[in-house]
Amino acid sequence: MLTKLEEQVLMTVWRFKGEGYGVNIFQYLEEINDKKLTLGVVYDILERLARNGFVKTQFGSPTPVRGGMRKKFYGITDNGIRELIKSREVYDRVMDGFNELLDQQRPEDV
Amino acid sequence: MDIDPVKNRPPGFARWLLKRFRNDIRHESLIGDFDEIFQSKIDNEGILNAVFWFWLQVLRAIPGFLRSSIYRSILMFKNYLKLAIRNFQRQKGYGLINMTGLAVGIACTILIMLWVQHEFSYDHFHENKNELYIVVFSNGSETTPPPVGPYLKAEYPEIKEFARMAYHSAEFDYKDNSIRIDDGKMVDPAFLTMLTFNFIKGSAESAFSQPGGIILTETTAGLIFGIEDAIGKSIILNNTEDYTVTGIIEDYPDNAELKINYLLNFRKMKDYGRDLTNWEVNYHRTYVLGEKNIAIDEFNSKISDVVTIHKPQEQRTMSLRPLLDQHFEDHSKGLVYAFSLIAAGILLIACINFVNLTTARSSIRAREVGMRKTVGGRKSDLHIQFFSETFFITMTSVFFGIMLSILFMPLFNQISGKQFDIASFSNGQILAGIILVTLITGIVSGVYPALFLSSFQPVKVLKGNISLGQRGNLFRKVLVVFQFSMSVFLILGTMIIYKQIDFMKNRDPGFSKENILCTRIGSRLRSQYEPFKNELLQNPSIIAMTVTNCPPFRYEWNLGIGDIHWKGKTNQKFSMVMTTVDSDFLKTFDMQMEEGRFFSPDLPTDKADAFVINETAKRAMELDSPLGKQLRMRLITGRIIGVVKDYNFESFHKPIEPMVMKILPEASDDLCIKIRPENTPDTIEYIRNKWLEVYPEYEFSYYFLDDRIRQEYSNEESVADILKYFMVFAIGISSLGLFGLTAFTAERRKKEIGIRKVLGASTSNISIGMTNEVIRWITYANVIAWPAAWYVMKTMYLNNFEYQLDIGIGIFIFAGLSAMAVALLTILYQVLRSALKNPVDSLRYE
Repeated sequence: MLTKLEEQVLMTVWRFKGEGYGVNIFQYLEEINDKKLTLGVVYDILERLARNGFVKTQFGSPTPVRGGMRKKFYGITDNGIRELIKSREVYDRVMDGFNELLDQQRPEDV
Repeated sequence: MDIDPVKNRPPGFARWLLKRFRNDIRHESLIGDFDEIFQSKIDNEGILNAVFWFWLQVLRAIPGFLRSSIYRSILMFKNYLKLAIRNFQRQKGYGLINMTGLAVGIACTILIMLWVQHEFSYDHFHENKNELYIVVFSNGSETTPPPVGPYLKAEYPEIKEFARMAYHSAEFDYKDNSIRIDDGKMVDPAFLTMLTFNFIKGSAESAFSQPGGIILTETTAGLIFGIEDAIGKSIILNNTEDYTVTGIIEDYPDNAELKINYLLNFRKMKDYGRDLTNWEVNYHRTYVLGEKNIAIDEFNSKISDVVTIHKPQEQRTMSLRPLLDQHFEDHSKGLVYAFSLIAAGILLIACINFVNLTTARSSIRAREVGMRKTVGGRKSDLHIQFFSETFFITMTSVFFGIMLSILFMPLFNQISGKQFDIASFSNGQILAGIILVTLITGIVSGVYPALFLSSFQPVKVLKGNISLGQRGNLFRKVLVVFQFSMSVFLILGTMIIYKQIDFMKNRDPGFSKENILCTRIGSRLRSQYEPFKNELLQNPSIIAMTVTNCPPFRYEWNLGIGDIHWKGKTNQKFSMVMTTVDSDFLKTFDMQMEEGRFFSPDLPTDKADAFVINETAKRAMELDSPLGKQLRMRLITGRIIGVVKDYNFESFHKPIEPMVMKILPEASDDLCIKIRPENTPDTIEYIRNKWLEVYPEYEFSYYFLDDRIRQEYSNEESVADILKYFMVFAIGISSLGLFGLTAFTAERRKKEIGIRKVLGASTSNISIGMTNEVIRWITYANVIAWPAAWYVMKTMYLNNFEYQLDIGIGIFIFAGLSAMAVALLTILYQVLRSALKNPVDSLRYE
């Protein structure tokens, strides 16, 4: 079962369609969560996802901007997509009836 | 983005940390990502924010990194351990050489560690150890005037308490039991609470509430009272004084600077007629208890002239010496350091064996390294692998080293004079030391081989066309030379110490020390001395006898240091050693007069007011014609009737000091009897019988002066004995390494030697070829060790002696040749084996 942050990372990898690497994944995650994250944590999750076969990695070619350091691009695998589907189903079941409930009891500022 | 990559680099250290901890993935992309975000932060938020962000990211990332790398390490460690064991099994011979060397080196280190720890533990058992001081004078003397303690306590708020301590020894009488006990101390009651004593019966506060109390150690109480309960019993000391046992203490620890068998109240001094308010005399030690953390140098400058205020003629300044420094006043701290260094050296020799054998045999491991690298092993993985192999061997060696040290403990105790047993290991410092030694040994032996082996390039080693044995050859040679210089150094050091001891033993001390029997006498014999002496002298085997306070080389009994006053050119007073004698002293010890005459038994005035001084005193007093000059010592005034030729009355460590002699039978406790060398047992039996007529209840105990003088060097001799073992170990371990190395070389050159033989080389040609190199190594080792040993022994050891040995070239040559002989013997087997081998065997291809 994926954790919430794992879901987010995996979804982001998918979203970038193989163009995602450390920097843009990290920045996108900071953006959608609207808070500062730790790059190392994101890396740990990417590593774990790769170990479990949910993402695959590929090295790009060195660029001068990064001092000759290559980028490592991440792409989602079929297994990753299946895992996301499972998460999505759970999420849907958890959120079932959300709007009705919200109508019955809505906080004033929302 | 337009970025100057050099100017705006992320903080180097943080970046390094990142690389360090992120060793589990190809960190290149990660670092690149970090750098990229860092650069964009510089553009958007400025350099400071960017650096801050970078650091924060790295620090927050570390825990996660650590977790993943530890997980990986455990996984790999199992694999490494298995490999280490397999490698050891495959090469048992070399592994055993490595382990034996390391185990012996570690055993030496452990024993020395125990010794060093014990030396530094002296007087640390006192609860007030850091606040206790001894009053000393600038000339090193610890005997002080009695009022010093009270004065310091009254005048200086930093001093909380004082206690005076005088030496005492006595005959103890209880019922029919009579025994002489030395190492008693007379102390102020405060002594019992300032220092730490463990009372079994009685208490530190109450034991000395009466002046007639005596405190005994358990052992002393056992000697006097046997199994009886001692407390409250009365005993008689020296036939005259009554004491009541008011306390029993545990035996005083052996790591204390003082030896204590019993304690008396210092107030008794008054009964001996001593004036405890007199600043003119020096009787005893003064201990003081200070406030915590006194700035001792500052305080010492305040009290330096305390004695001079009360005694204007005092030239020496006074100061406080921490009690914890006291042990090293007469035990060389240098020796402790020297031994530690030597132990470290032996361990280093053992580590060198490890390094040499591992790198020499690198060709065996080279393919493995190549394979590992080809399938993706990183250099750091290989480092860890080789390190864990080294640590595996080190740990096993430490285990055997501890076993060995326990095995050798009795021998070590015998030569070091200490009492170690297995329980000595249960000491925090020792355990920490062993762990530290393990780590250091592992690192020292592991670093170079790990770097060396992991640096092979897979392409080259897998092709198999580089001669791997040649790599690091020079380094190995240097290490072998180092090992043997260390061995030669130790041979030289040991020999120089033995020679110096020999030199001192054979040196003429200025008196005849042979066939002189000494014993201590009590007051009863002192009063019957003349008839006793006349009776003894009737035996033709007894040549002469004398009473004195200080037989030569027993200077520790010499209590009489006093101020001498005279009328002379300059310098009209200073302290001199006083030896009390009688008129037969000169004859008994066969000494010579320089001028004038010695005391005559026929002139009663000689006993009353005559002094004899030694040559050194004559020079020190700057008297051209000393005879008839007036002297005053303490309250005795007299004239000089003669000058005795200088003789060594202390030891050969020290120069002869100015001395004055005086007839003073009541202060003379030592009886010295010169006997003929023939029929010694009969003569001793005769003396014993006469002695028992005076003291029927005493055992007659005696010693021979020359034995005692020999004991003077027992300290040096035990140092030399320890060094001797070190030397043997150093040579042994070096040879072991050399053996392994030669065996390997011989194996590697098998084919070469085979071809040489086929081409007509004789056995001797080949042997010489193989030996030459070793001869060259040992020669270099000697070239290094000779000057080093000469310099070190001269400055650190021989200069401690007033009378020094002339180091001849002989021992250098001897040491060099012995090292050479040992080395050649070591390689002999291998050389002969390869030289005699049938070339067919070595050249045949399977």
